[in-house]
Amino acid sequence: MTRRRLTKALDVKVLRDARSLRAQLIAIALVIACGVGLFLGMRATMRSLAAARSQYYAEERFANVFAQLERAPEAVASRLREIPGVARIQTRIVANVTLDVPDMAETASARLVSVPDEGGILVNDVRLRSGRMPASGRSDEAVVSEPFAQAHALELGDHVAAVINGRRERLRIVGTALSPEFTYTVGPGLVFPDDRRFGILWLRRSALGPAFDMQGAFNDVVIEVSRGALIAQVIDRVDRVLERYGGIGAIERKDQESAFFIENELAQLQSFGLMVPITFLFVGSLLLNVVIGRIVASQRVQIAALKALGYHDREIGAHYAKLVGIVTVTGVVLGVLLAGWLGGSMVRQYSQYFRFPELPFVMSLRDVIQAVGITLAAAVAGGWAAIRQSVRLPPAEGMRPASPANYRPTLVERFGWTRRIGPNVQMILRELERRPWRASLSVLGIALAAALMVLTTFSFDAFTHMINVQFGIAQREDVQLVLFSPREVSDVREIEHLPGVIHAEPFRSAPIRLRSGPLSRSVAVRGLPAGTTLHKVLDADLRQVSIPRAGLVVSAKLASLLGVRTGDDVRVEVLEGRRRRVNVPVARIAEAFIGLQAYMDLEALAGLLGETPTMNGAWLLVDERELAALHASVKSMPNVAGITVRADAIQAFRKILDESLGTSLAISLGFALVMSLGVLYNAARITLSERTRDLASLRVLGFRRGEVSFLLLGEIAILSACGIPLGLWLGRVLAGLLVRSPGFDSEQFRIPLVIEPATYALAALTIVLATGIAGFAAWRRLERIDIVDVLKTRD
Amino acid sequence: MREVTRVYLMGEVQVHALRGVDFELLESELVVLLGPSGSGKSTLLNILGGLDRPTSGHVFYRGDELTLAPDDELTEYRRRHVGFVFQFYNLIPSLTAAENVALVTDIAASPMSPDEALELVDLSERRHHFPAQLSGGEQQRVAIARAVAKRPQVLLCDEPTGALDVRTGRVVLSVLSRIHEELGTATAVITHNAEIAKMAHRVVSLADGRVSRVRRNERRLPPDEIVW
Repeated sequence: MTRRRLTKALDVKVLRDARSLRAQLIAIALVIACGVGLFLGMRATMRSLAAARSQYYAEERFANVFAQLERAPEAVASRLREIPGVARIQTRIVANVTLDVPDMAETASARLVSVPDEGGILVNDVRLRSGRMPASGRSDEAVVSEPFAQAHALELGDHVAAVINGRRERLRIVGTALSPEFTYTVGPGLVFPDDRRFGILWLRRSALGPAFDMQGAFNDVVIEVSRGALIAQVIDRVDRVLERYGGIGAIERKDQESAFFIENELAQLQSFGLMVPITFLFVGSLLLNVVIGRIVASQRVQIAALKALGYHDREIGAHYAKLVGIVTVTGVVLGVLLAGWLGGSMVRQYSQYFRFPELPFVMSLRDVIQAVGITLAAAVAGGWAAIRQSVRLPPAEGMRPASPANYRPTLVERFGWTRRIGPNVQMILRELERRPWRASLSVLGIALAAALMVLTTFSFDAFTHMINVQFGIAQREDVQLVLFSPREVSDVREIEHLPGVIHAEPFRSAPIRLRSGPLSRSVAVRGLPAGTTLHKVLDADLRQVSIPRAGLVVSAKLASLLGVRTGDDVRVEVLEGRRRRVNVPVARIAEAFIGLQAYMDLEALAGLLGETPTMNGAWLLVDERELAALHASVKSMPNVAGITVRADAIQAFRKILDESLGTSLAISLGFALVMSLGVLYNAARITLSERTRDLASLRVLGFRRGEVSFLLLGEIAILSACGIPLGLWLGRVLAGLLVRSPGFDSEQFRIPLVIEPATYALAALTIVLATGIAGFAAWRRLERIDIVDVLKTRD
Repeated sequence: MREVTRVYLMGEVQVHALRGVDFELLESELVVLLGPSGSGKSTLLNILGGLDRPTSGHVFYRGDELTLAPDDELTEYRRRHVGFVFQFYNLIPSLTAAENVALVTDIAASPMSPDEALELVDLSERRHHFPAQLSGGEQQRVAIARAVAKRPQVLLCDEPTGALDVRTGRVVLSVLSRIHEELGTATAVITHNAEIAKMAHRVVSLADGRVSRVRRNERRLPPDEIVW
């Protein structure tokens, strides 16, 4: 009549134990889920971006080498083609122009890129999204980049006006397109993508040639390198060929703006995607250790009984390992679901900035397996010590009650501060000090949650600081004008007469290569007029660095890349005009968050270039009310290649910040709460389970509920109080590590380590909130305890 | 066992639990180990059951020496041959009566079914109850069912009535005695209660870690006639 039992009795015990401890175990599983979700979510986002990128690059034959020059006859192309390792080249005419778009009063800017009249585009092909390419020979047709078209709701057949070499040209939009070259685009003078203010226009080469005096010539070339060829050698040869034609130094793909930003984002994901999930798995592992350890300790009599019944150590070990397994598997399953949601929304977010034709979200089985493996390792590491200890207990010893706990006066008491702290606090302190290991782990877990909160939210402070410094202190000009070609410095008077301009200062920018020993970098050096008030160069303490009469001022990052210090000589190779090569001393080191910067005195630069002082741009102080009039007149000025308005750049930044701040904060808060609650709730429950009898005894002795609660809640309050400052400090340390990692400290930008008090406060408040929630949950349990019942039962 | 001594440390104090004990449990025999608390009888039982090892001396089971057997071998010995009944029952609180018995039947070589074992102790209808829903006597009967379900060669009972009132204790003793009769298991019962000794074939008295007296009962008293 007996039915064959499907489940072993010991497994039934696992399930029943798990059910009775479910709140604690779920808390741990959630921490693990966060770790798995973050790891897998970021990993999948990385993979999705990388996969979309490599497919896109391959399909559109994205170049490996990019070179800009002043002007070279088309015949030079064949010399480039002959360079060993060059597979295909595409010569082009590329120019920045100002654009007049119907729905916008201000000036937009655009980059014009030529496409060949005959034959296809060999390198850096465009992906048409709608319409068609401009008809061959038609100079009034253009394909516009899809994000720009979307930002302005441009339809096929609409017109935009471009000021091409002084002539206002009406261009009919015949198609929209994307290109791997412009997956991520930042307009000149902007810091973040702004699809309204900057777009790409593709025109037939026959349309651009005459306009820019480039008939039968090119000023840009993109090169596909054959597999296995050495890029550095190709670049070297290309530079030698183009030197005579005003080449400013070829760059490889990783330095191309769009490619760089994608790569950099991947590097950031890599840094974050390891640091943050590992913290979660580490805390999950700590919690497993503490909680399983406690469960095992509370079941020592049961373990002894099982041993007496003839269960092997390994069977009992496996029994508790199954409990760990249930928590881990729950965590992993929830984590994979979380990863799907998190990764999916991250990819959607990215698709707004990285304009791939398709950006599907892919989660690879391999990553899932890897995540499961890492999580299991963390769980085993956490559970192992606790389980092993249980299994080792000799059965006869397990039958006897555990020897009474050893208490001793705490450090505080030994210092003689007893009178000040009262007996209640003394009891709490003794309890904590009796298990220093466990208390330390709890403090560490809380600290990590606070640190995580700081780590995930400080970038808003950093960005705000960057923008405040850049646009609040350094760039005081309201408007920057960039000219197509250098003019006499005295022409700045003309600019000063434009509507609304209060004050104008000229600047000269020139491409140079700096060499120091084997190290070299190509940058644009900026010549500033003596006594400039609009554009300040700052040092690390945000004090203005005066530009000396002679010598270079370089940004700290550039100095470190070249391995030079103040007083060292660098070799300057001018990459335009007479291409002079001169040794110049580094006079000062400045601070710059964006790009590699080099500055000189305007006149000293003229001397270096071997010309009388010229300007190819100007900084303007403008009466805000007349900005529209200024835009209107700039739109028709022939020599203006671009105009950027500081307020627009700040606004674009604010928009990005506002869009992401809320969500980011909510997500960070959620994760930090899960972690700190996991730690605090378990700490409270463990204390409760260990001390129920003591607390009940105190109630019998006449203590009030509140007084007994104080003993329980005081403990987690003290843990939090220790964890918060440690966590804030740790957060700063981790943030310091992060800003030095490749994705955060690059040649294109450096994210400063700036953490505002509000960020620390928010992290601290998060922990306080978690302490409150955990305390409340534990307090409710305490309230439900039947004193008499507790005292009657045997341990 | 021969010349068995057992010394252990309690904090910083050396406790001599056994000081050279010779003892033999014969097949089908019911022995009562009698002695006041601290006389070493629990230690003796633990060593007999393979839960503990002697500090010196030798322990044998059917000619195999257990004295220096590794943990795994002792576990196997307990698993195959020994049934334990403890003073405080030591049931797993999260498992029902039947599941507590199943703990043993899951791992034994040729066990009875949990239902059969509970039948033996007259608890069939309580099989789905958790320990907290059973009285002390019922819990102890579940513990006995759990001990005998594997059909052990040796049944070791440590103060099986220690936590029970007289009436319930008597029921438990009857169950033990009946099972002993039915299964012929060699049984050792520890008690400090001299009256219980009347149901044994042989009574071994312990005092201060030594065997002080061995007595054979000419006439065994059935458990329901024992009064204390």
